[in-house]
Order: sequence, then structure tokens, then C-alpha cells
Amino acid sequence: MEQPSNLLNNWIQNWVDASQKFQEAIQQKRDFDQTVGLYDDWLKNQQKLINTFMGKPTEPEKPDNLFSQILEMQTTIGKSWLDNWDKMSKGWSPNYNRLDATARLQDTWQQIYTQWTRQLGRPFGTSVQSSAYSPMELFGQLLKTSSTYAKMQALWQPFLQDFQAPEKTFSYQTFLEGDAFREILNNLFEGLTPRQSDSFFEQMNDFTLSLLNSLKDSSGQLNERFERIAHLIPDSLTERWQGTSDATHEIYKRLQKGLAPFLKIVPPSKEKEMLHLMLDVQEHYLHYYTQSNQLKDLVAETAHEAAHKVLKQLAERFEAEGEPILFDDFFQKWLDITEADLIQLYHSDHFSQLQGKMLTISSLIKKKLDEQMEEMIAHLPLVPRSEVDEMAAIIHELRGKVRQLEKELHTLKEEKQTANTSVESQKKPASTPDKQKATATKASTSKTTTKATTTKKATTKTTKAKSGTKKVTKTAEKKV
Amino acid sequence: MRGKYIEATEQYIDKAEKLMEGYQTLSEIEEIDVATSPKEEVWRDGKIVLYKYKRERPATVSTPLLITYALVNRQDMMDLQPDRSLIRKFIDLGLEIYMIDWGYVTRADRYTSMDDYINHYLGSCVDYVRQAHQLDKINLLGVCQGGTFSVIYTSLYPEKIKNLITMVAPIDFSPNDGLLFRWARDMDVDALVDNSGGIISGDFLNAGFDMLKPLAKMRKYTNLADMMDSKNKLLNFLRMEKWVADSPDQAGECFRQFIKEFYQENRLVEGNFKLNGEAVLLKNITMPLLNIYAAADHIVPPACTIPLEKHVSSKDVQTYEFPGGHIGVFVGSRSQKELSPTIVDWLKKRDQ
Repeated sequence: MEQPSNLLNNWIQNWVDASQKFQEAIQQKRDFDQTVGLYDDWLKNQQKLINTFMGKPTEPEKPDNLFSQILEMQTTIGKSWLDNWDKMSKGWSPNYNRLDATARLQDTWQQIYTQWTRQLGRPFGTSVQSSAYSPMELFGQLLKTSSTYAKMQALWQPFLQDFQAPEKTFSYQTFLEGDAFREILNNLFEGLTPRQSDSFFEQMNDFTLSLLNSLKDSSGQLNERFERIAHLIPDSLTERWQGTSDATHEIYKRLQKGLAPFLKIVPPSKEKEMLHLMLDVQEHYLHYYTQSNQLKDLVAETAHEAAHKVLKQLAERFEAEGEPILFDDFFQKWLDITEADLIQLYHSDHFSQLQGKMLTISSLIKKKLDEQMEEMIAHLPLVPRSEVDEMAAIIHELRGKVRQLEKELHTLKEEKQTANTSVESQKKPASTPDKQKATATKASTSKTTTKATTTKKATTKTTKAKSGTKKVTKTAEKKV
Repeated sequence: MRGKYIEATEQYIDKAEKLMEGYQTLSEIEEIDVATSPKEEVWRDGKIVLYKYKRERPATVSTPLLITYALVNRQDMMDLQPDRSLIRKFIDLGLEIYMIDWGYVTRADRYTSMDDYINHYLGSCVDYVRQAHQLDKINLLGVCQGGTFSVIYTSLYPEKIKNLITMVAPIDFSPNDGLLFRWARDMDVDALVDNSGGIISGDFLNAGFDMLKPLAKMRKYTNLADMMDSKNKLLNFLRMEKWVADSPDQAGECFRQFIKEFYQENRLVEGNFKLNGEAVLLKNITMPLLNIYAAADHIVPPACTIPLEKHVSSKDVQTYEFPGGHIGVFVGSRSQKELSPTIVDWLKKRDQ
């Protein structure tokens, strides 16, 4: 009977195959490149197995063009809104039962919301990385790192060959300018930007130029505007981000044109507010993408310069000492120098301020999406977060008051007890050392709680101004 | 030269083989246990719990020690594994230990403020230990942010603390040494807290910590391949990973206040910090103080920790340099061999 395919079987099979190939390679004394190839194959297979059995895509997806997606999304939203509007107006015929018609109307609105939200989320949908801990995830991380390690090995090969060549000319460019090094950097710093915006700048440029071409026969005024956008997009790396934000804003305004006609026919309503909210979110997203890409660009530049520095230093060392440098030496040096340079970058005002802005805007996006979600579920029997937050605020305030009352009660009890003790001690002639100690402790506690009571009185005064909680305080006081 | 070339190939194959053994080793590990020292719950208010560690023999130091950890990450770091446990060492050396567990914040806790944490929760724990041991004063040890809380508490209630120990605690937030200190100044903390539903996620904080040493993960996982054939080494590694990933969310109000008033305005050493309307003055600290900092701390650099000694009125102040990083203070071998005995001896001498 054929065994069912599962992760472990496949895993072990890959293991067995790879071990055999490794042993053969060692026995046959194959050269280094072939061994690296075997290792790479093994890693790829392991990664593929993890992806297959953990539901991740086996092939990397090519990032979609963000701007085209937004345009497509605007058009789809407009179209679906008009379709639904049509359906809704037909459903609201006076010939129908009004109750049925109302239910249908509600249903149609839900459909519209769902479609809008689905559309809105589409271009910006980036998977949230889960930090939930599991050994399997660790192994996945390990494989990913090993893969970077192996790629660095492969990149290192021409340089290693240079060490053995009689002319000793070092090919920095092969190392730094190829796609492989860029891929390593993207892998290392993928958290800085959503994957979809990997080629954000190029996407923006392409989109503007294609619009410009398609509008060549349009009115002169419109053409001028697009010309201006195109000029805002700089050519050189140094001024790459200069004005990018303005350009994004301009482009986005163009994209919004797709929605403009039907926005005009939507009467002032909650729905219209929601639509505007959605457009706000899109604009925030674009600014977020611009800033996060700017940040990533800074990191990439620094990492490139650091790699150049490493190679230069190693070449100089080789020339001075004549000993070839092993990959692990190079790898450690690469890590040390790149990390130090990145930390220096992270210390800079420019980076810190940019990061601060990015955090603010990303939190704003989250808030707007939350608001939108609340609008969407307003018709459903669910308690929205904003109401839970209100309750949390009230509970927090009440808990503070209960604690304060408990302390006051405790103080009163202690004072009463102290008074009783002193009356009793006046009656008795002498006290033992133990009792003296206990009295001292109580006195000290009493002193402390008096201090707390004074502070709390001030708090009560302040909070009493809030009418909503006044009643609760009074009731509690009465009970005490 | 050919020899070097072969050596490189062998190094590479060796790594690959160890990596292959890794899956087998990982599959043999059933449970990653941390914080295993026996303890019992003695006080609770909502999610906040006070634990007392169990002892087999009576304590040799009569004043108990209350430990308050940071709100960031979990106190399990102090008892990571039996042979790397500051707690076990303290118990072995004769201390009675109490520890506050701040719990896991949810959205319901978004309004929990620094006043709640310090005046109420920390205060209640101090009072519990005082009452349980029939003592006016107890010993207090604050770790990292918990150290800042301890200093604030002790400034407000010096009559309740016999000896104060601070470990890698940020006090002076003005130095530019640490990245967190630099970044916090450009952070719109109001926007961040309000827009995030009043909760700052642990993942967000961890992402920030990862950026402090941007290639540390790469380094860590590369080195991990070398220990893949050893179950013990791998378990040590996994315990640490578990602790790192166990990062509770932060209550927004407390986070807002901590960032704004300390990281951005440095109010604690400026002398203009108030908690629930009451001025917090470091000069009120008059009891013996042991201030421990880590020489290679990249999270709370020494420049932020050492100045505490200048601001307190204590006559008996000792500043102790630990040769290591922020985490090494708890789990490094020197922590077991040198730091724990130093702390216990210091307390014993002041246990009159």
C-alpha cells in the first residue's frame, strides 16, 4: 500500500537524498561550486516542504502594481455601487411589501459595504507576520537564514577566485550590483515596507508616464498637470525622494477622479461619510508607502556602502598577508560592519524623524480602518470597540474609587483599633517588647495611610466634577 | 592555498550536516519549560499577581525581597532555567523572595496608568509583604522599567523600604547613547496610543528591539546551525526564544506617560515629575542603594542608569558595573557566579 504523503515522509526523503548526494560529492571530491549547489537544492526542497504543508505559497508572488490596482479598485467600487443602487431602487417599489423591501434594502447595503471593504483592502492587503512562537517557525527562520548564508556563499565565490588569480583584480561590482545582493537585502529588511511596495518608485513612475501618454490628446491644462507630476519625479538617487510625497498626492488626486461622478450623486449620508473615510485611508496608505520606501532606501544605501567597505578591507588584508580569506571570516566581517553602519544610520535625525512620521501615519490608518469597520457593523447586534472602550474608562474610574474607599475604611478601622488599644494600655500597667513592636508597626501604617487619604481627597474633589460618576461615589460613601 | 580552499568546503558541509541533524533534535524536544522554581500565589488584584517563592530551609536574611520586573517582556527571564536562574540563586543564598507578575494587558486595561501600577499595585504588594512579615520596611529590587517604578515608589514612600536595589533601570533619559532614547523623541506617542485603541502591542515593541541590533537575528540563526546537534544547547536557545516571543501588550495610558514624561521630558531627574498630583523627588531616597548597570547595555545604556547616585540623598550608595549586556545580567554565567552573591552579601550586611 502506498504511504500517505506527509511532511515527515517528504522531509526524511529529502534528507536521505541530500545526504547521499553529499556523501557522493565528498567521495568523488567534487569541487566547491557543486557542493554549494547540492546544499542549495536541499534548502530549497526543505523550504518548499514547509510552505506546502503550512499553506504558504510555494512560488514567490510578483508584487502587483499598486497604482493600477487602486485605479481598478476605484472603478470596481464605482460600478458595484451603481449596480447596487439600481438594484436597491428597484427593490423599493411601492408595489412590494414594505417590510420585505426594508429587509432587502438592508441586505443590499450590507453587500455594498462588503464589496467596498473588500475592494479597499485588496491593494493594501499585506499579511501580518505572526510572532507566535513555535519550534517549526524557528526552523523556518533557520532555513531562511541558512538560505541567505548560502546566497552570500555563492556571491563570495568570484571574490574567492580573485584571491587565486595571478592578477588579483577584485570584482566588487559583481558582488554589489547584481540582483542577488539586492535580494539578500530585501530578505533581511523586508519588515520595513510592505512587499507590494517593493518597486514603489518605479510603479509610480510607470503609472505617471502611462497616464501622460494616454492623455496626449487631452486638453492642454490636464496635460500640463501631468507634465508637472512627471517633473516632480526625480531621476537621480540623491534627489529620489525629493518631492515624491507631492507627486504621490497629485497622482492620487487623479485616481480619485474615477470615483468623482458617482460621489456626486450620493446624497449626504453616513454612506457618503464612509466613502470619504475610505478615500482618506487610501491617501494615508500612499504616504505611508512613500515614507516606508524612503526608509528602506536609506537602509539599502547604507548596506551597499558597508558591503563595499568590507570587500575593500578584505582585499587589502589579502594583499598585505597573502592568505586567502575564508567565507566565515568574510561573513562575520560583513555582519559587523553592516550592523555598525546601520546603527549609525538609525541614530541619525533624518532616520529617526522619518520613522516617527511613519509610525504616526500607520497608526492613523489603523484608526481609520477601525472607524470604518464600526460604521459597517453598526446595523448588526454587535458591541463596537468604541463602546467597550467607554465601558473600560468607566470601570477604570470606578475601580479607583472602590480602592480609595477600601483604603479609607481600612484607615478608619485602624484608627478605631489604635484608639481601643491605647485605652486598654492606659488601663494595664506595662507592655511586653513584642507588643511595643506591633504598636510601632501599626503607627507607621497609620501614618502612611493618612498620607494616602489626603491625596485621595484631592482626587475625589476633581472627579466629583464629572456628573456621570457623582452618583456612584455618593452611593458608595453611604454604604461605608 | 588549496588547503584553505578544502577547509572552507569542509566547514560548509559540516554546517549543512548539523542543520540536517537539527530537525531530529527539534523533534525530540517536547516541552520548552521556563520559570520552573516552585512558587505560590499570595495576593491578586485582577491580572496582577504576587508570588512567593518556596524555600526548603528558613531564610538567612530576615528582611524579604520584593522584585518588580518591567512591564515589557516577562519576569520569567529571572528564572529562565534551573542552571541560569537568578531567583534560584537568591533562594539558595538565603533570601525570601516575592515577585510581581504584571500579567497580560488587554484592551480592557487601556486606561491603566503609572499611578495604578505604582501607587496601587506595587504599593499593595509592598504592604502585603510588610504585613505578612510584621515589618515596617522591606527590601525592594526593581528591574529595568520596574527599577524606575521602584525608584518612584521609594521616593514617595521611603518609610516602607529598607534597602533599594535597581538593576539596569533607566533614570536619566537625556543621554543620546541608546537608540530607543533617540527614537522616542520623534515619536508622536499620543497619536500612537490613541490610534492603536489604547494598547501598544508587544510585537511592535519587539520589532523596535530587533532594530537595535539589526543583524542580530541573522547572526543568531547562523550560529544556531552550530548547536543543532546538541539537545541541551538547543533547549537553552529555545527557552530564550520563548521568553523573547512572550511579549505582553502595554497599557496605553502608562506607555504614554512613560514615553512623554521620561523619554521626552526627562522629568524624573529634572525633579518635576508628579504621580497622581504628588511630586516625586529622588532626594527623598535616603536608604542604602545598590545601583547595578550593565557595561555593554544597548537597551538601557549605562549613561542612563549611573546618574541615580547623584540624585538621591542616601549616604550608603554602591554602583555596581556588570561586565555584559542587558540580558546577560540575568542569564550570563557571571550573573550566577558574581552578581547574585554580591547582591545577597550587600543585603546581609544591611539586614539589621
